[in-house]
Amino acid sequence: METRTFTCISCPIGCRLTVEIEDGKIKSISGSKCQRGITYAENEIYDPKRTLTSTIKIEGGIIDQLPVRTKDPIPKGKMNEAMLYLKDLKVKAPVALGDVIEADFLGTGVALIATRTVKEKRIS
Amino acid sequence: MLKWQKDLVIIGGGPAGLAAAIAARDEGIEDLIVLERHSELGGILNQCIHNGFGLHYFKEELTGPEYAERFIEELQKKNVPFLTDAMVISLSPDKKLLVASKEHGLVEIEAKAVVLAMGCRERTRAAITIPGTRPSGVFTAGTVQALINIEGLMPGRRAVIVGSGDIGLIMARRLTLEGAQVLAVVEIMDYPGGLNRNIAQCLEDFDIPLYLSHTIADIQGKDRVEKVLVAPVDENRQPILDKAFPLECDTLVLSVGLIPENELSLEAGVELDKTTGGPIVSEYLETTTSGIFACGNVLQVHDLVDNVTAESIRAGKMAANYVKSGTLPACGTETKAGDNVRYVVPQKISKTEDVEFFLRAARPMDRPTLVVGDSLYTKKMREAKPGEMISVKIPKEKLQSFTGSELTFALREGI
Amino acid sequence: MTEKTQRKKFDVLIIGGGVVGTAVARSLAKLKLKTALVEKEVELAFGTTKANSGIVHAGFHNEPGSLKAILCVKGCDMFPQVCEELDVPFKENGVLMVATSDRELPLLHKFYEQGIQNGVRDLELIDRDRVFELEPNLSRDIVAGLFAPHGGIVSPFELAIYQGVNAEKNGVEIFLDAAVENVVDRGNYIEVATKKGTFEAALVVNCAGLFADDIAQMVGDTSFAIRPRKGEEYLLDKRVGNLVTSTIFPLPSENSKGILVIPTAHGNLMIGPTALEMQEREDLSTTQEGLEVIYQSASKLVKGISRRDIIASFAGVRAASDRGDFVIEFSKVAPRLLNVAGIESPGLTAAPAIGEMVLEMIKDWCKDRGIPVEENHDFNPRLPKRVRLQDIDDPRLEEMIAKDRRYAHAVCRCELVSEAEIVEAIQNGARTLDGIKLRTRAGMGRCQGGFCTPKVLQIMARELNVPITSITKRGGDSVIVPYKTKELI
Repeated sequence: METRTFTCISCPIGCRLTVEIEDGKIKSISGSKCQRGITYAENEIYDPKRTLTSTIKIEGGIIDQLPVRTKDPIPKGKMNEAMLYLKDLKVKAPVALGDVIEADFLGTGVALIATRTVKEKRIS
Repeated sequence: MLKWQKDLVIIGGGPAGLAAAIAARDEGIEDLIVLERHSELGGILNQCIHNGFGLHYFKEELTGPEYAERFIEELQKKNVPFLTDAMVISLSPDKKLLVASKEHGLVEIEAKAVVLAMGCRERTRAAITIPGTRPSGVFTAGTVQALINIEGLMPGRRAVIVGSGDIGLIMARRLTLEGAQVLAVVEIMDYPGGLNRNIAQCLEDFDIPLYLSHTIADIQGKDRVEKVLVAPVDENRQPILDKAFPLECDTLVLSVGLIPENELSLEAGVELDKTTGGPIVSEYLETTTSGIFACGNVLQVHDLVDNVTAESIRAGKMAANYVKSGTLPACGTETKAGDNVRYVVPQKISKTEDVEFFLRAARPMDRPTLVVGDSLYTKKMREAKPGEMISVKIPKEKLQSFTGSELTFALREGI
Repeated sequence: MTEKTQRKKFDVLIIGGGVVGTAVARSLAKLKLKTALVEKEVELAFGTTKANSGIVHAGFHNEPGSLKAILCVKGCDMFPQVCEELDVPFKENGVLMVATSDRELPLLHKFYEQGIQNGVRDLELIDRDRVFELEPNLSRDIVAGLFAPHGGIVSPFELAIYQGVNAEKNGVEIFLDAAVENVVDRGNYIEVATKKGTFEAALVVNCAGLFADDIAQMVGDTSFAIRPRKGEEYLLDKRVGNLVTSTIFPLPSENSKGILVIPTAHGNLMIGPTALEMQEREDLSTTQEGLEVIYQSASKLVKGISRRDIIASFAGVRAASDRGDFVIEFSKVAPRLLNVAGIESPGLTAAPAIGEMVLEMIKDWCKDRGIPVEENHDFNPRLPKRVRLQDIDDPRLEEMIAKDRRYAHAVCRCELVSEAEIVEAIQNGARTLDGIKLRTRAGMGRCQGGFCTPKVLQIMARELNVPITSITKRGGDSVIVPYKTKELI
């Protein structure tokens, strides 16, 4: 049997989780203060996921970096691929908070959304 | 020069100022204004594009700009006046402000009440006096965050981070994802400054080494940073030079603490707490200058924006009460940080209402007991960490039973 | 500033754009001569001047009859007018030397006698009570003082920069990033090869500071050598800027004036400098030991100095010579080379007087050779007054804001610097972040540029029409932000 310990990242408390694994299957999870810790531990063993936050280029807006995030966590292993994809992604203003930039980001089924409103730049 | 009169002026349009303004408006104050020195509302949240905000207040996990935008929208919906690109240049004890506004020029404002919500600034290289040369490539973490997230600029390709505060950890991940190499995070204390979750998701996820009980003993490089010397520290936190090792890098990021920005407060005769660096306040969040209130990071450096919001809502309400009644109850009992406690806010209470106190542990402790006034109130805790603010609400009945003049808050080992 | 590649001919070529070179340039602009100045750094005042303490010495420190003593007293008297003309921050805050024990009294008296001989105006020996009346925050150990009310403090880099700007407006051509590679005496002229092309001049004035001996040696003149002496200094928050009014000196040691407590022209407090003889001329690193020495010594003079108030540390290297006094003379080897070297303390104070002395020497040189020299009657000693947001009581501020709202747009919050001032600094030659800082103070305050750096970079990129990723801290490879996001992925 294998024991793994890691920190839950679901909230600022950061519970120290201990997971016992046998034949690739979770036997027990301890250390969590809430249900989210259990879910996190399960994901961390079977399919670790992270929310990606970054910026992409935006044209014609009052600012030229648009902050974005994945609406839900995506597979941890896809981070580098995701950043490469964002490198060439460009949108046009206006954009509203929550606007979907990519409905199915990298085939994960998770949407990439704008995390702020960017109004058009008025040409004066 | 333009001259305005306002019931309430809120200095700062970040999370603290926004929440205070909305709360004051909800209490019926209409003649108010939020002054923001930047060109947009939202304060430092605009550059905090990472997630982790709002779990307490909105019960969901948001990024900084999302958290800010919810308040900005509400502010606008409630028609709370605000002015951006407006810098308060001076503030007098009788609440006269001089403002430099890009839109209006110089404006003199006479206010009945003022809420200080200016936030904080970062400690710099000089504050921790790192020896060495003065090349370009030495930045504070917040500046790096603004450069990357707002300006779309990368400060370098090989970085070392000093200090394991949350901003430093967040920037370690951000730099790494953006293709830079983060060689190490160096922390002078024997425990990390930031949240455990950030150690996990920002360092461990990317195999970035964290050197506890280490410091930067020297910065080298003429034009641009070329190398830093990392040294372990002795029990007095002095570098042990013969055990130092070099790291070749072009960027040094400092995440070595935040200082409440209280230069204006001092002008207004506001007394500061030597430990928090913020104003000494009553339970009504009123400073030692009558009618001047403080909330958010200008009062005490918070680790969660949700706490800033809660504190600022209270400050906004109290300022509104002050405007309406012209005074607030006297607060004659002082609070005091006892064993293993670095500070307590508020510093003065009236004993007429329940009070929520905020305090910070002086060192990490496992299963300590919080003891307030000899045995007025005790609370067993799972753990205490300097990086995580402790809050405790004490009912007025308990407070009323306290007869001394100084209410002491202490953390005691496993009672 | 002008940059050409072909061979350039001038009557006088000044080497070095520090406070001495620019003072000489401004003085020479009073003559109808074709004058140029070459500077190795990308901006004026980027060498030793940049780290100067800003003290305008009264003149009691130096031996009577020495050039240091004569030019210091003369220079000190010139400061109020020069700074008024150039609109450079200057305060006549007084210089106070204090004795911390009775044993030091004879030396204090010696300096009094020396000052009187040197012609220091209104110099007086004062008793303990009067010391504390003037400076209530000094250490109680102090037993007596020597007070020179006309000593002052100035913004040293602004002085150098605006001397240069004023010289340029009066016809002097300035070439930056033009390090001298070789100097050849061709008999009837001197040839100076630089990174920015070759110059020919009838006369060369060597104001090359730390490298003055290198320049002299290029024509075989080994009559003096530079002995670099490093000094570390610490700048304290404005919050403690009022701890003292005068500049406080201890009794000096053999190779330096000691650790001082210096109010700055902008309201901060500075403590330092150390004095360390060294080989390396451009080692500007600070050390833990330096900090300790300065902190301990300053605390002995003034109560209430705390490490917590340190907002910046820096180091400079004094260009002292092996002769002990200033070297201001025509070279015996190359008669067309005028050396102005070894200008260590009180060099800043002496600078305007050195400018005038060089002017007279050049006039005489021409007269001796029957070369006619005309006065430049168009010479305008003044620069337009600059309007600063931090001078909130300045009545012109409102006028300027009415015309240009950028004067009310604060970019640097700690030092209250407006967007308009940044733009004006660029118009006055700032090309680097440090250049902006030295002219406007943006980034010099307690946050050390943490907040304003991104904004200043934006304004610079816009005004200079250059990519933001090319802007440097102080030239060379000191780019601030070399890449754009996603570029490294």
